[in-house]
Amino acid sequence: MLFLYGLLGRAQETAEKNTILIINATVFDGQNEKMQEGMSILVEGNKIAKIAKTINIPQTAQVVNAQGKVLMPGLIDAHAHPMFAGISQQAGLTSQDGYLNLVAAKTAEKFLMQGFTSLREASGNSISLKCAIDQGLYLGPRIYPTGPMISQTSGHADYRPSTSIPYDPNATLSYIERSGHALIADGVPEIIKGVRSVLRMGATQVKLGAGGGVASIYDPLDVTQYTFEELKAAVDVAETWNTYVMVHAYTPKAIQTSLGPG
Amino acid sequence: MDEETAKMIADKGAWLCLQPFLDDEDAIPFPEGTPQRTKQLAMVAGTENAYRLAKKHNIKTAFGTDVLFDAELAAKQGKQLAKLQRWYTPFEVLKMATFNNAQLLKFCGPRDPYPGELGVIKEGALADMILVDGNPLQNLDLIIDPTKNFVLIMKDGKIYKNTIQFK
Repeated sequence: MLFLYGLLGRAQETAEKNTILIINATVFDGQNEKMQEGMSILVEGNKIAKIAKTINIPQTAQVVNAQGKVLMPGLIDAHAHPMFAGISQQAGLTSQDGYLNLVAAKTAEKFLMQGFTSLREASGNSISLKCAIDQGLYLGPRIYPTGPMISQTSGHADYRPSTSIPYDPNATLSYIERSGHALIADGVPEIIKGVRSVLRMGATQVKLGAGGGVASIYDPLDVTQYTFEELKAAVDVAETWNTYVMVHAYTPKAIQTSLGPG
Repeated sequence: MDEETAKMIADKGAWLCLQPFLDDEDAIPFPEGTPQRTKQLAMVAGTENAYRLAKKHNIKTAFGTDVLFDAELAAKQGKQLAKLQRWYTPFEVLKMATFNNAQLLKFCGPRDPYPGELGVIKEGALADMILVDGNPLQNLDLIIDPTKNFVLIMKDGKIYKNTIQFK
């Protein structure tokens, strides 16, 4: 029992002790090329509370001596696929979603331990992973999830088997669609419903495949995907949710078509 | 991308998120002769051009790795970032991967799960920081080996790695 009390006591102490003081740091603030030398940075809770030449050491603070080292903001990856980065294409497209999530949790931990503290997930539904990381169950960066990429038939996220065409209106969704990694939508009404669906799932922004891709199967690189009207519908719906649309596009034509509705 | 498209992006104020796709040892390993490999070669030929035009037209440019289907490459995000030295100074590269990228992430406005400032060290910002053993503005290659050179990693005020002694 005494041992148990001891443990509880220490846990409580740690919870209260969310104060970290970094001293003697050379600071690159992320914005200005000129660095500041000999700085102290006080972290309270999850925020930077104070930056100054000298800060009195708070009683409960952990102190880190950064002498001779450069403190910089955590790195950000604005186009990441945590669900499919750490797995082969073969396994990625044929494994059950539970396995994908477990592998992705390992990938996310690697990302964080490489100094990437935030990422924008650009499809491959990481919404569950994000929630588990935010709850502290797994280690990983902050994730701005896109969830499923919205793709037209034969588009950048159409990973359905080749035999799924001709389209059978009574067929169930393919596994990759059911797991929420891709959403196939053709025509304005389906796009509108698709964008609303991904936003309901918890996407912070919306992604559409707007041009030919490399890893995808049925789309030559030169093609444009979606018409002006379809892209415009997506942008309009994203705007009702006060967020934005990102597109996958390499070619001038695909980029220009996407810029139309933006 | 071409000149006219780059100008349109700049005029619209749209963000361009580029990935340093090169036909090097880190390219996704599609077997030679497959349609995907052919498409890959055509795409990487455009990388050099895209960065050149983005710089020339002062397009708001973000950095992404876009790593797919490659566990080894997923463990080399820093190496991907360091490749930007072909086009940018170390300061420009690190600003892009911190401050600039944060501006793009924050575009989701009220849908932001992490309200507060990211990608910057200033009073009031969210405490996401790394401590580098050396000066990455002078030697960007330090970011290629984070295991060795990032001695402290903090996210949301929590320390996830610390190999230096507490005082």
